[in-house]
Amino acid sequence: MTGFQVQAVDLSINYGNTVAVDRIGFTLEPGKIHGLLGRNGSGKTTLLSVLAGLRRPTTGRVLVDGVDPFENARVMAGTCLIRESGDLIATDRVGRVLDFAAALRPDWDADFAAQLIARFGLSLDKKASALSRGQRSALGVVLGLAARSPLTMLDEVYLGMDAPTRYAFYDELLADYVEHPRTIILSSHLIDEIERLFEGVLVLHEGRVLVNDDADAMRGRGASVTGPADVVDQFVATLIVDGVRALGAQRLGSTKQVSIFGDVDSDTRLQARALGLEIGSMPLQDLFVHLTDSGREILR
Amino acid sequence: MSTTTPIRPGLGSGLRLARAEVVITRRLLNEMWKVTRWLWPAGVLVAVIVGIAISSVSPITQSIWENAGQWPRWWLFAMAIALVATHLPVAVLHGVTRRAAIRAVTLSGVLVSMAWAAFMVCGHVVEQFIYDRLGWPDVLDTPHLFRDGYDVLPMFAEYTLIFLAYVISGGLIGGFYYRFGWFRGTLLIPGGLLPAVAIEGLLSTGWYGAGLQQGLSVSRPSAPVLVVASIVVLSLAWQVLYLVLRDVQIANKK
Amino acid sequence: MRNGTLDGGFDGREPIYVQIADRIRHEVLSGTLKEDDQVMSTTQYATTYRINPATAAKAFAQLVDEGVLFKKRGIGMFVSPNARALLADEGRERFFADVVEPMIAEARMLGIPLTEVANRIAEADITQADITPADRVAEGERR
Repeated sequence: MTGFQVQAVDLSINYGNTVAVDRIGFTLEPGKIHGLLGRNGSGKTTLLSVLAGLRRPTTGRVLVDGVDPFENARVMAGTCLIRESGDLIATDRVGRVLDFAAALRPDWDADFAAQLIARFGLSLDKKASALSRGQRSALGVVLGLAARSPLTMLDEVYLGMDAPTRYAFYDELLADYVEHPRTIILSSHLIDEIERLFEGVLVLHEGRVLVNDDADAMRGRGASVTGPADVVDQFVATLIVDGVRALGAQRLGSTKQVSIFGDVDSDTRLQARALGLEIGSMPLQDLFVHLTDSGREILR
Repeated sequence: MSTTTPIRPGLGSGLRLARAEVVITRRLLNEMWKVTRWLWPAGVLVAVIVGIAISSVSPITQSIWENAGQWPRWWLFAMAIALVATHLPVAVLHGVTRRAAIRAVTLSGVLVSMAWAAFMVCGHVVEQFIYDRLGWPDVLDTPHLFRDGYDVLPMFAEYTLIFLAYVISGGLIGGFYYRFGWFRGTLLIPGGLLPAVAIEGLLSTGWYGAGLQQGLSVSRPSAPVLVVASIVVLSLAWQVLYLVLRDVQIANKK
Repeated sequence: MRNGTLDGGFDGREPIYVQIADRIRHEVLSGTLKEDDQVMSTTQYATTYRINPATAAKAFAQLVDEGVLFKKRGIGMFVSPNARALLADEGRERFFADVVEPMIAEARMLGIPLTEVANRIAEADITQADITPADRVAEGERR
């Protein structure tokens, strides 16, 4: 399996007096697609900066492919960070941008780049400054995917894209990942569509790691319990005893819906149904909103 | 578990690393050439027009091309500020280490200084030739390392050092701004200008150079000494530039 | 064949690998997937439905454990020879827990006497035995 492993060890990153990342530790396994989730200001972008060697940690360390990435030529050449703003020279034409990247990225695939340019409908002659937001994002995606870097990090790249472009992006990303496995980190605060691509999920909240887990396991842990308020409360109380956490509740008349986080086995589900309660699964987006809304630290 | 990035067959990793410097250097030279290829003809044109204008009024008594050496200094200075501030971050974001980028910037600076020095040398040679034919005295206004328009080697050395000084000054100021921000960057402008000022003083080619010499009432050291001294000063200045840029944080763009 | 819907037809109610596994089970039961048919590979599933291949792999792993699918090394995933019977048995067991018990609870809640429910079921049993498929369709149209 090719792809860099990513590790953080007691990592803190400050901006002046602001603590952006607070003593976090995690390991991201190589060759997988990881979702890096968190609200704006949660420390995602700062973390990616350090992984890309753009700056040093304040304390602690990061390891990319087992070494400190800062000023390490091999690792930096194999790490590609694409930011939403698109780090391009404004006066360059798209063709020149691609040539520049092609010359510097060891694993660049020119044919694939051409294919992606066509797919996104970009013109090679257009100046970078003349690109629309969506086109700039698309160009960023081309750069990120065609580089085939063992560590590819895409930071909120698809926020500026319209729906057809986004789906093209998901398709191209998946198809290429399947052919050329590598470590991919997709960072965002909007994950509705893209969360299906994740194999791992790392959630940051206020500079701390809230969750670092397998995505499918995470999806299985969020649920909503709906029914008559008193029955729901009683049922949830029994769950809490077993270690499940209640994240939030909504009332509509005498009906109550409680969002829970924890492992719920099938027996418990049957039990709920017998009581007349409805247990529904929670999409990652909702789970993520609940977790970060309540600001609670959910211990792994 | 360690993984390695696939290496293209036939390229050792050492060679692959050197490629980054070459790519960045070519890019920087390319950017500057886009403007230079217009500046050179324009500079020649202006000198010719000035020459014609003056000579129509009164006979020419001194070198015109000598003055043509002023504006390239400032163009190179401005270019250095702009290119360092934009291209270093982009290089790092393309996976190039800062040290490799600095090497590229340095190489580009030296090459571009030499190119412009060659340009000046050609101009002097042509001017000397024309003046000799027309019987005009090609008097040089300020002291130089070279005696006349045909003293090519000292001329080339002098111009290279001066232009390089302005390039390094520009690089320093660009680096200061990028690393320390607007406020401290502005405070550091005098520091950034030091290399240019120092070399101008040493080679006493600038407007204040002669004045400085007279003021300090020292006799002018020999040319080789001045060249060596200039190289030492520029090396120190480059060292500062290196320290400023080698671990500079690449800014967030949001 | 690229899936036409934006989300591949998966909703947020169950984990996707559960939905995939269910879908395959359904296709086997209904006969769409026949025994010894090859199933789409995980990568094909992934690119068709826009999901991570590992998620598809999880679904397949579950089905392999159950005995519904088996892997031919180097070729792909195939439906087991007795998959349909297996699923029918499984389904039979879960039918009472998943369908009948909730139906009873619902009937009680609505105040419908269980004997009435039982009668309706008995009726259906009789009529189903006599009529032909064509009649069934006509019956459905009348309703």
